[in-house]
This record gives sequence, C-alpha cells and structure tokens, in this order.
Amino acid sequence: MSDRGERLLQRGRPAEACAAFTAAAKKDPSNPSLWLRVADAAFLAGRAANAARAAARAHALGGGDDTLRRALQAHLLAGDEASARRALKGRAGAEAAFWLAVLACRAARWAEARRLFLEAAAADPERLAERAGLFAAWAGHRAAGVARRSEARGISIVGLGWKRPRQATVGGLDALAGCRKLVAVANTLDDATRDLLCLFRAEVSAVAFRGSEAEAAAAARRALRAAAAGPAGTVTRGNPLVYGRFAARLVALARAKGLPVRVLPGVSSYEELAGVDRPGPEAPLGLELRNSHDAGTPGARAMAVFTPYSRSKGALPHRPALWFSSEGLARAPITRVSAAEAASMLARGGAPGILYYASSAKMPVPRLSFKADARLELIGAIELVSGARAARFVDPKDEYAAAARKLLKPFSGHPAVRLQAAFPAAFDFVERCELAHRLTPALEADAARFLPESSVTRAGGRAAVDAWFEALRDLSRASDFAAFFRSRRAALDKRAGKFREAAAAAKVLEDLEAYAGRPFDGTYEVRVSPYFDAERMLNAVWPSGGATRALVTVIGADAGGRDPEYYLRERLPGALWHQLAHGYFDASVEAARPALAGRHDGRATPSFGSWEQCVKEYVVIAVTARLLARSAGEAAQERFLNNGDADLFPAMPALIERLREFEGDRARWPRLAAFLPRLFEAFPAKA
Amino acid sequence: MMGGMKGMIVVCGLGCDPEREATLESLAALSGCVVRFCDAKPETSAWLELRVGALKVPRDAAEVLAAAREGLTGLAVWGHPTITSRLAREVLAAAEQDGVEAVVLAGISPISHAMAAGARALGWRADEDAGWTAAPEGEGPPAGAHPAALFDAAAGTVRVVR
Repeated sequence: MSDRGERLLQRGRPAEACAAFTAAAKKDPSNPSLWLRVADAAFLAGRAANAARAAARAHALGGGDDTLRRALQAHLLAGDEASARRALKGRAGAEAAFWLAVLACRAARWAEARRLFLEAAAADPERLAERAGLFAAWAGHRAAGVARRSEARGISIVGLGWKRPRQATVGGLDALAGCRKLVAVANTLDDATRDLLCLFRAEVSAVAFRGSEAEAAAAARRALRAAAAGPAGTVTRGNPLVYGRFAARLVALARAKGLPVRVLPGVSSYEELAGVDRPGPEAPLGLELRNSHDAGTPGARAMAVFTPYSRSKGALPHRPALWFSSEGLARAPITRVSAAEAASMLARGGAPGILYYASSAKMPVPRLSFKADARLELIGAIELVSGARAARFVDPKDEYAAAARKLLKPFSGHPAVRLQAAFPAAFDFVERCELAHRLTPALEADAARFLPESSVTRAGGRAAVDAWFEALRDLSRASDFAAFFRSRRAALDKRAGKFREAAAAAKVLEDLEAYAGRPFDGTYEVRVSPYFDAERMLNAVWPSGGATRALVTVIGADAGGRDPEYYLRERLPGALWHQLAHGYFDASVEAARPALAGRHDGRATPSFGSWEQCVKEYVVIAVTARLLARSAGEAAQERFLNNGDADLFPAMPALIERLREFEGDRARWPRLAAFLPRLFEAFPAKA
Repeated sequence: MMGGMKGMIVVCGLGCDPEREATLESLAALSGCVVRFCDAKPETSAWLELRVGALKVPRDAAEVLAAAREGLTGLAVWGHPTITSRLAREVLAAAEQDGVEAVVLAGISPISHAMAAGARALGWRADEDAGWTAAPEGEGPPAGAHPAALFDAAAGTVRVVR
C-alpha cells in the first residue's frame, strides 16, 4: 500500500493521492489492491475513465467476484455500459446476475431487474441476500408504478439513511432516477453506495467534504454547477439536514440562485436510536431534539444532536457522532439520562449511550431566547403603510422597512390598515404590541394569555380589538406575510445578537439558577423588534403548567442606544432577572398567602393594587438587586434600587439584609424557595 | 430466530409520506414476511400491497402478536414505530413479555419530514435551529422557542408550528 497516497486522500487531495498510488502500483504492478486504490483516488479526483481502467486492471489481476464488482462499479459510474457488458460477457454466477439486474434497472426494465436480483440473492445468500434483496424491493417499487413525475430542473438532496443503502427511501431513489447528474459526497462512497449509484444512468462525480465550512461551500458550489444543465441530485449520509453543513449550504446557494431545491429526508441517527429504544405504550408519543450547546441545560431530558457548529461555540465536543455505529448501537443499552448527566459523562471522556433520547411531548423547553416575532413585525409593517402616526412607533427607515412597506403597499385599503390608522391616539404602538404579542402564532386570541383590560379599553373595546385581530389574520394570509418574515428572520434575529451576548456575558440564567438553587425549567422569550420604542419594555408572565412560568419580554432593537455600557451591563440583566424571578417565585408567594396576610410593609395601601402582588414585586426586586450587586458591584445595586420607586418599597432594606443572611449560609439554605418564609419575616407583623 | 424466542415480528416505519419515505429495508423485510399488517390510511395500504403483497388491518396488538407466534410477521406503521405509533409500542411491549423476538426498522419521523419539507437544518445555525419537537396533535407541543412537528398518526399528517 502507499502510505503517502492514503495520507493525501485523508487530507482531501485525491489528484495527488492518485499520482502516489499510481507510482506505487507501477512498482508492484501485479498487486490488484493498489490498482483499486488508484481507481478510488482517480474517481474522487474527477477522472472516472482513469478509475475504470485501473479497476479493470485490478480485476484482470484478481479475477474474483470482489474485483469484478469494483470493475463494474467503475465502468458504470463512468457511464460506460459497453465495458460493463463486455466484462460480464460469458460470466455466470450470482454476482453476474446481480450486475445484469443493475443493467436492467438502468434500462428501466423493472420486472426483469427484480427477477434477476431475487435470483442472485437466492443463489448466493451469504454474499448477496442483503444488497440484492434491497434492490429487488426498489425494482419492485418501480415495477408497481410511480405516479410522481421527475423534476425538469433543480437539485434534489437525498439522504441515504444512517444504514445505507438499507435505509434509502423510495422517494429519494425516485428523485435520483430523474437526474442527469449525480454528485456524491466522498465520505458516502463505500461499496454499498457505489452499487446504489450504479442503478442510475446519470453522470456521477464526487465532491470532497470533511466538515469544514470552506469545504462545505466549495462542495455546494460544485453540486450547484452540476444542476446548471438539468436536474441533478446529490446523496449524503443519514438525513442531509442533520449535521448538514454541506446540504444547508447547498440549499442556501440554490435558493439564492432561484434554483428549485428539494430535500428528501433519510433515516437519521436519532431515528435509528429511537428504533433501538423501547418506550412503553404509556409513555407519551413524540421526540425532542436539541443541539448539543443546549445539552448542559439542567433538567432537560432530551436527545442531543452533536454538531460541528456547537463545537465551534465551545459547547460539547463532536465526538459522540463517532462513538456509535449501527452495530454498536444495536448492542448498546440505551440509558436515559438528564442533559446535565450527559454533559458530565462527556466531560469524563467516555460512556455508553451518550446520545440520549426521551419521547416526552410534555417536556418543557428550558431556554432564554432573543429573537424577532412575526406578530410584532406584522403590526409594525401595517403601521408603516397606515402612515406611521401611532405614538411610540419607530420607523427604522432602512431597507427592511422599505421591503415591508413594499410588501403591504398593495393592501393599503385593507381593513387591517384602516383599523390601525383609526385607533385612538391613546392606544399607542406599545399598547398595540401589548395585545398583539399575546396572540397565538396564528393570530388568534389565546384564552390562557389574557388581554390587559386597560389596553383593550384604550383600543375602543373588545369588539374593536376582535375586528382588528380578524383583519390581521386576513392580511397576513393575503400578503403571505409569514413567507416575508421567514426570509427576513435571520437578519432580524441578528439585531437581537447584542442582547443575547450581553445576557450570556452577565451569566443571567446561570447566576439566577445558582442563587435560587434550582434549575430554570421554564421558557423566556425576549422578542426584539425594530419598530418598538427603545425606551419601553413589555413583560408578561404566563402559567405554563410546569414549576416555572412562561416569560416574555418585548424590547426595541435600538434599546440601550443612549448608554450601551450601562444598558447591557446593568439595565438589561436586571430586567431579565426581574422577569425570571417572577417565574421562579410568584407561585411561592401565592402559596404563602395565609402567612403574608398577617404582615405589612408600613404603607396604608399596598402598592400594585394588592398586598400579594406587592410582595411578589418585593421579592423579585430584592433578588434582582442582589444579583446585580454580585455581578456588577454594590453600586449597581444602589443604582437599581434608587431609581425613584424607593417610596413604594419601604421594607426593601430589610429584605436585602435577609437575602445577605441567605447568601451567607447556603449550606443551611440550598434553595431560596425554602428561605422565603424567613424572608417574609422582614415584613413587620400586623398589630 | 434467537434461541428461546417464540416467533418473530418486524415492525417497520413507513415514514410520514410513505409513497416517498418508505425505506428499502422495510419493503424488503415486509416482502419476506408470512403475514403482514399495516396500520395506516387505506391509500397507503393499497400502495404498499402492490409492493410487498397482501396486507391485513390489525385489530389490536394481541392479533399481531398471535400471528408472530405462528411465523415471521410484519407490522407496517405510519411514521416511526417508537415515536409515532402507540400500536407498535404495544406490540413491542407484548412481544418482550411473551418472548417473541422483535425487530424495529426505523422510519422517517415527523421531525425529519418537517425539516426536509422546510429545507431547514438542525445544527447548522444554532441560533435559528437549536432544536425540534415532534408531538401528537392535541398533546403538544411544549411551550418553547424551537419548531415543532405536530403529527396526527391516524390522519397521516404532519403540521409544523414555531
């Protein structure tokens, strides 16, 4: 063998590898294995004819079924059926029958192909039962009739499954059968895949892709060039879009060029894993997947999908994808572990069942996210078209706003536009967002998310609000606003990046979890819109059925522009902690209602309308103040508390003192919830 | 058949769009079975019957298991056996209890189906595609930021929500 050739091949330099193998083969010309490596490298280098010659030479030297198979593969992948037929002439036996069946497939003689495949499988079951049986199924499928026609142009990205070609789908192969050119990712090109590609009369080539972003882009460009002259296809392992850097690049490139792109899914690693697991009939149906950068989230029970992306983000390493094979998976016991346990197992460097799975549709999704919201963008776009007269509305006056205005311009007479233009001035844009962001994604009112009465009144009453919601739904459908939002989403989400980074830098979630002594098992969405007033913030806390509530905050994309340093270091983390603390402790305050009834804070009338609500605010403000003190210093706590609201909270200094006591003895008080009764003692007892 | 086992059942996932997503191994395995059941829409059964031979509509897990004790039996289900099919789970649990060997051939799940339909990747842009949930209509999805594929196994449909 040629070590140099192998090294070059591993480095993705097939042309040089081919030269190295050829040199080695010329020194040892009677060695068929060397000529087969020449064939492999030549094919990867785009020299299919050279590959065919080398494989034929190997077969002439070896003469067995294995070299016959390789020679026939090389001929057919080079599009040379005549040479393949010559190689088969006069040959009997199961392998020859198999290849005659392949030739019948290429000629669309499906019934004959199926018969020959079954004969081959019966004649040599040990060697051919699997591949011939699978291909007989394919030929049988085609013989039964395929209704769908081939695409005239575009590119089909076909996943061959975790176990290929066993998990190749009929739709994937139907798509490949309609292609003029096929591009295979080099790491899929094992013997079984080469057999599969030989079924099609397309021009086949390979692209090298070993995982890097640059290679993915280059491979995608090559695949796209193949689609220039007619329908083309490409094959990948597993599901193209899971770990799918190449496929994702290809999709993006094709869309940018206006080329139709179809993705035919393959059975992925997580589906294979789920097939080995045996959840009982009583377990909830379903599956949840996360990226591995979420895998460390405490409390999660999910299956991790490990990706190159997450590796680059400093999350868990990519190793688990390499740790199991189909065979290993079948033997390995499936261990259900929490995400934190899995992260710990990874950190220790090795354990079975690292990919983990739980079929729990009821599982909450712990996550702090910053993103754009279609509901807010829709009413913002309408506001642009209706004259942008609403108070507290921001016209970003940028390309995005221009595109939104252009989209809705044909609908300037639509009821949604007219209604929004006619709203009372008191129902400003922030108020409109207050109602809109409580709707379901389908813009329906959600019984679980009440609409604030004050906002409804300012809008003109419930009937006016309902008419507006109905008009929003209609306009969203008529203008296909969802498609517009999808196309803009990435850019909009990017505007939320500075807030996301600030929250990560301040360790908002981690610090609160450590302080509370339990993981955050709710959801917190921070919705960021360029139309929203930079000086305002909307907050909502909704029951979610779990221990922690669903939290939402709306902020403007330009929030903090006046003093970014202060905003991102203190104001934003403080606001997030405030909301998160509501999620953590509101229920505890409600549960302590009887004990709190005997206490007060010295004010004749409690702030916030009720003593219970007032205590909730006390708790979250005190916790937020202490977290700010710990992250940004005691001065930050003072700035936070001395913001003009001090008279609303006369007992706050006493609560802060109690929290210092809690912080000083965490061995005794591992959880803040257990300390709350002691915290409430900071309120004087009623006489 | 493994030593001590009494019969064998192959449970095959047909994917969420069986006419496109059935795998070669499922078709080949079902073709080789003595008795075949299909728990899917009649159109799907008609399509499958042309490819693998006669199919029965299963009454319940007990009927499937009784057939498996007599000879190699196949059960084809919409979607993925252990993710979307309660019948498949019941059959697998009963098979384990009765010592009937059971093999699961994975199918395309609602998550993969939805990802492919939207051509959106998992794991390429973590900010956008940090996760997916597949849950039955009416039982899910949990509140969360990532997309969900809501499936109705009886109707053979997948709906994507964000």
